[in-house]
Amino acid sequence: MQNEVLKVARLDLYDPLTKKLLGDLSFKLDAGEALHIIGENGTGKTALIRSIFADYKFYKGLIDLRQKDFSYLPQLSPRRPKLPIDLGEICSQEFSFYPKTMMKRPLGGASGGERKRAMLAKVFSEDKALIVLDEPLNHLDTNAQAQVAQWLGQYLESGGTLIYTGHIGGLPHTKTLDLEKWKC
Amino acid sequence: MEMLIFYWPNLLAGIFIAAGLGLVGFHILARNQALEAFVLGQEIQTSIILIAFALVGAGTHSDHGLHVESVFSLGLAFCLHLAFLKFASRWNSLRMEIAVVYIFMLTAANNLLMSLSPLIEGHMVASLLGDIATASAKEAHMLVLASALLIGLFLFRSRSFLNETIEIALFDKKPKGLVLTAILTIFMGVSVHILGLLFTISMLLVAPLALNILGKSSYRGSQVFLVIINALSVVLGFLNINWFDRVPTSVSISLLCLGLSVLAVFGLKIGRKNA
Repeated sequence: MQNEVLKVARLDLYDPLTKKLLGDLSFKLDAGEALHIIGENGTGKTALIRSIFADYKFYKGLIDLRQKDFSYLPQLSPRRPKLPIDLGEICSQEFSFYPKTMMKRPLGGASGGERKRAMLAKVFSEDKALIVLDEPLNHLDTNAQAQVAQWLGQYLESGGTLIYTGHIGGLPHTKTLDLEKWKC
Repeated sequence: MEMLIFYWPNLLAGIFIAAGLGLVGFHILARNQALEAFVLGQEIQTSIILIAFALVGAGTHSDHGLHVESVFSLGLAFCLHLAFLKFASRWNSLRMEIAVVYIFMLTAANNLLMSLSPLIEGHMVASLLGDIATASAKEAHMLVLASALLIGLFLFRSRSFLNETIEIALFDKKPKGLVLTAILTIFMGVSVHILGLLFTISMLLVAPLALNILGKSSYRGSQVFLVIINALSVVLGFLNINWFDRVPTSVSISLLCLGLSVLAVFGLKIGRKNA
């Protein structure tokens, strides 16, 4: 009980047009675990993540988030950012998937994959006990996907807690939450 | 030289306001809020005219001394803008259309008020094409002090503003706080009142737009670029009075800002190619 990071009970989740997406959803997450949220497009994976972090208000039920200090990486916007800075301004810490040479790339000209790598590096460098990732491997090539998965594996082994959507193979201490079971 | 000695507080005030607007404009552009900034400028103009209209009605209007309407109009514009943001976020997919209609309705309201009370015509013209040279020395000193404090506050929170701007630009997140909006409102309120909407929007958007065309920079480098372009535009525009005294300073400053930005973009692009 002391290690409980998140408790969700009897949660009804709606879309902004008040259509019910999920009904009577309950689960909990302890420290050191990974929660893999799965479900088809439109089941409410992103809405569930956003409602846990008080960014989305269309729900009824209990969401008790005890670990308030966390890093959250949402999905990338398809729009090209109008921000004339280099990627190194986002994160200057090097990772296997984010080498020093990439930091000199201008953000406006960077590909979706490069932007994603810089943001993942930022999230990982913040050194938080809870990390939340929405489709973290989208836009990444297979090499970078493997490097990110390896880093996350080490993070979980060292006691970190993770919530994520999208497929990441081979992560330890992972439990799966299949939203299809609560779909309305 | 004589002119500079006489007008130095006005010139300094113009430089500080222009620098502040450029620094904030960098974030406004990156957050896709250029149209919203124009809405805010229009709200400030309408607020100035509305308060002046009310003062004329109450018989307390004066074109001299402390401009009471500037203080009240700032508060009114801030409230109008919050209401607009709330309404527009409810109908997010129609945000741009709502903003355009709203701007035209505010323009119609300005003209309605002006036709009802021709005494406020001066406010209408000044809030569009203000002139830095017309501010009194006392007003200019206050502007320098207020702008310096605001720039200080902005620079103090500069890194957290950048982090938030990155998240908004990359993930379409909503802004968390209202500090940047408050700084923008005060800068724009003061600027529209003294220097006009034309000057304000130019200083806010032209140099940041040039930076985006350049593409590559450090955050600190961007800030230096914005301050130099905007400050230089104000100085050259001010000196322009010597040769073209019929052209309002706000017009020459805006055009100079565009010219300097274009020159800087070409110059730096050529410089990078040769490097």
